Amino acid sequence: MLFPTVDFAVFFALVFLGHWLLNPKPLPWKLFMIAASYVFYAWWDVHFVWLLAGISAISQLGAIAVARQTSEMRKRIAMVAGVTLSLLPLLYFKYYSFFSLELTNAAADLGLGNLGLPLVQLILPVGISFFTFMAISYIVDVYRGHTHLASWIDVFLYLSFFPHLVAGPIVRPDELIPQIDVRRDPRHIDVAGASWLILGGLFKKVVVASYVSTALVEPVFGDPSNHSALDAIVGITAFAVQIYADFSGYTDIAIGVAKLLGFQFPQNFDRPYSARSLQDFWRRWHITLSRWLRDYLYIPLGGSKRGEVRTYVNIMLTMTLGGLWHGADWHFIFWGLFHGVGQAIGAWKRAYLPARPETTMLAWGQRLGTFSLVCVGWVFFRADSMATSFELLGRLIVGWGQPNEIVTPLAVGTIAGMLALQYAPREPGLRLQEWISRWHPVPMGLAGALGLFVIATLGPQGVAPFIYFQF
Amino acid sequence: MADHRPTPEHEPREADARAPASSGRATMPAGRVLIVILVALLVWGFLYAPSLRRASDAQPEGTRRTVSLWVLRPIAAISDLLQVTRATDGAIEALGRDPGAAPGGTISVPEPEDLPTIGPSVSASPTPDEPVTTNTKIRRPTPGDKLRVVVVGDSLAAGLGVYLEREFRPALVRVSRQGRISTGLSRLDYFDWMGAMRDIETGFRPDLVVVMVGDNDNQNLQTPGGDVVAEIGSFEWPQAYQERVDEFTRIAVDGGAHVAWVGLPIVDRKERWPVMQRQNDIFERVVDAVPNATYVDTWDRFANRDGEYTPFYWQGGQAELVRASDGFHFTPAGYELIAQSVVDTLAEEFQLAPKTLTG
Repeated sequence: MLFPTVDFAVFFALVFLGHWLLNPKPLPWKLFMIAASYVFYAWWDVHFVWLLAGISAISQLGAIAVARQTSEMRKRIAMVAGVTLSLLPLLYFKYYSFFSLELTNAAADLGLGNLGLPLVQLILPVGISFFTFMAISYIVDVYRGHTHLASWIDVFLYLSFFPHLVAGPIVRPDELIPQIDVRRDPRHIDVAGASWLILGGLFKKVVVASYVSTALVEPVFGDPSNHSALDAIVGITAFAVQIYADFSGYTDIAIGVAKLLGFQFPQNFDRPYSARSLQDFWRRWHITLSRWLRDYLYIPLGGSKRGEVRTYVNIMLTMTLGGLWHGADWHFIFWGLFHGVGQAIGAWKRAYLPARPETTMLAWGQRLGTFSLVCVGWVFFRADSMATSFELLGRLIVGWGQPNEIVTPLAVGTIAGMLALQYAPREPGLRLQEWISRWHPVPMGLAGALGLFVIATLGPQGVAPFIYFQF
Repeated sequence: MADHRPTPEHEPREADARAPASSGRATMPAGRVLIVILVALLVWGFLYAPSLRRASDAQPEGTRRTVSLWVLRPIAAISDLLQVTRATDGAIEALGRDPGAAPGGTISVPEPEDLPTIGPSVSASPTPDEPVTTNTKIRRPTPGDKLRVVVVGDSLAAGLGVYLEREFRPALVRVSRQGRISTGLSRLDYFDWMGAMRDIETGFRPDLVVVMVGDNDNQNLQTPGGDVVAEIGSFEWPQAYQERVDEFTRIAVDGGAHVAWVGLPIVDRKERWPVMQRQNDIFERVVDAVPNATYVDTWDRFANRDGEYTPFYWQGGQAELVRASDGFHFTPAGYELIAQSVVDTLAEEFQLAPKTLTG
């Protein structure tokens, strides 16, 4: 089920009612929320409901196995086994097709003949990357003692809870399971904050992301050779805006929906395009993935504790695997490596070059430089192949003097507006929310209706799936 | 955030009664929040009912459409009666949208001033005043009078357009990609391809029209006004569909364009094969009878040696994934193969000048 649909609106109104009615009765409430979450997932594709249930079961069995062991070695073996089993479906559905094809072709190139690997094409179950990572978090956190062994029902609800199910945020067990186990307070719902997030998220997704995608991104990435250097700059920058509006829009809706149900989700974006370094960018972009990669990949690899060279290798390896997590293709791997190398260079600079005096010029230079690097990275992320990526970047050099096809005041204004918001003060928005929060429910509902009307009218017919659903 | 220390499972406790004081926002009890949600959804539904009704009208026949219309028609009628529709249509217009637009959207034909001033008079292509009887060459373009190519159809055409454009040299060929997802020749009430093709003919004056359409056509044939011409599965449907294909082709050819009609590809769902193959037969039969129109097969090209569906394409000992995971659409590599088939056919049938191609 997609958030910006009538289906979801009806679904949510019913779930909201059931959720708060059953709130005083923990077991019926949990069963109801699991059922609702599975309906939400099945709405997309009923065939993969078993997979969600299966990974939940594996996760809990792994955690039980860890908790029952007495020796550290046995605990570790149980943890590794649980993590491996949890990962298998993701590896199969997401990476088998890619690697079997690449190996088959490499063998043919090397004259080794046909390896006999079955070539298959698999449908990627929506959200599998997200709930698999959460399942791994649970097993590892039980092993580390960061969270207690939860009940079966709590684990099934933790992994399937519909607001985060298909595209995050990646919520840690110690953030969500305790919230599942307390009765939520029905007297104090932050409706103004939640509505602000939901309507803002819908606007970003339905209006901004849809517009820049259709008018700017698709033409430029579809046929780079037919576009000028300025078109290429606008198209690349537009994709930076699109993916931010699309993904942060989804996250905002997810956080807002959870808030209406009395849950607090972690923040996933914090003005990423105002970052002053790539390291800073990853502290602000998809924060819950960044911290997952840090806690469950970078640190187990040794982090920065095993010497300087190993630190740089760990950074690059973590980011490259992060790229692979986004998609089984060379351009995603390169995108991850690009960020890994960039961050490793940043770490080296911080270690060896003296810090320059802080000036406004320096700050803005760093912001501009970081944004430019991020945009170069986005080219590899969005393009359909490495060849297209280099062709588009080549337009920045050879495409000057050609007529511009897509540069319009609306295009430039939309991009500039979205980037300017990264620097806008938060206070006016907070004051507005505070003011609205004191309204009577009826005018508040009317304002919501008006907001929905404007968004529905400005948006295109139908809404494309969120970019991050495919990950 | 609440205290997150794990608590015993069997002792659920009330979260601390708390207003998010740090934010300064007032909070509300769940019952009043439900009022907010219901007011927002009901009022929005009322304001947007006419648009929702139009969108539901255009959905394929089925339970979802029936239920949607059953709910929306009375609401839209009340909206009409109270003049709310008029007000909301005005608001929609003020927001820069056409409230009466077909649910499938509209096309944006390139502006006349974008066209070369010397026009197609230099073209070797036939004009409407000179009905053609045999295939003719596609005219030789110049930088000042580029070849005008338009790609029309459904989502397959949208994908193909991207990769076909890459086959042509931008200095000599201008490609207009007009693929519209979920459209076809059956439901003209959803998207009127006949009207759109006429607009393209008069506005863009294409030299070449590449068509890839038909996947969404396994439905009743309806007019732009919504009248049913032939029901799906009826005896009349194939003939009526053929007439539409013929009319669509002739709009393009009579306007002076050459037409390359790309057939539907083999798909993984075998139960769809009979209908799709019948459509392909119709496409091929029609273009065979129309001069300056040709057919590009994709069915056999993407089938394996046994004539079955395969997502892979083997070439020189290398396998390439060419089909999307839905078993219908293509990967970029697949669209590139179709685009190459199209230009090969154009060179063979209409002597498309090699200098127009990037390869």
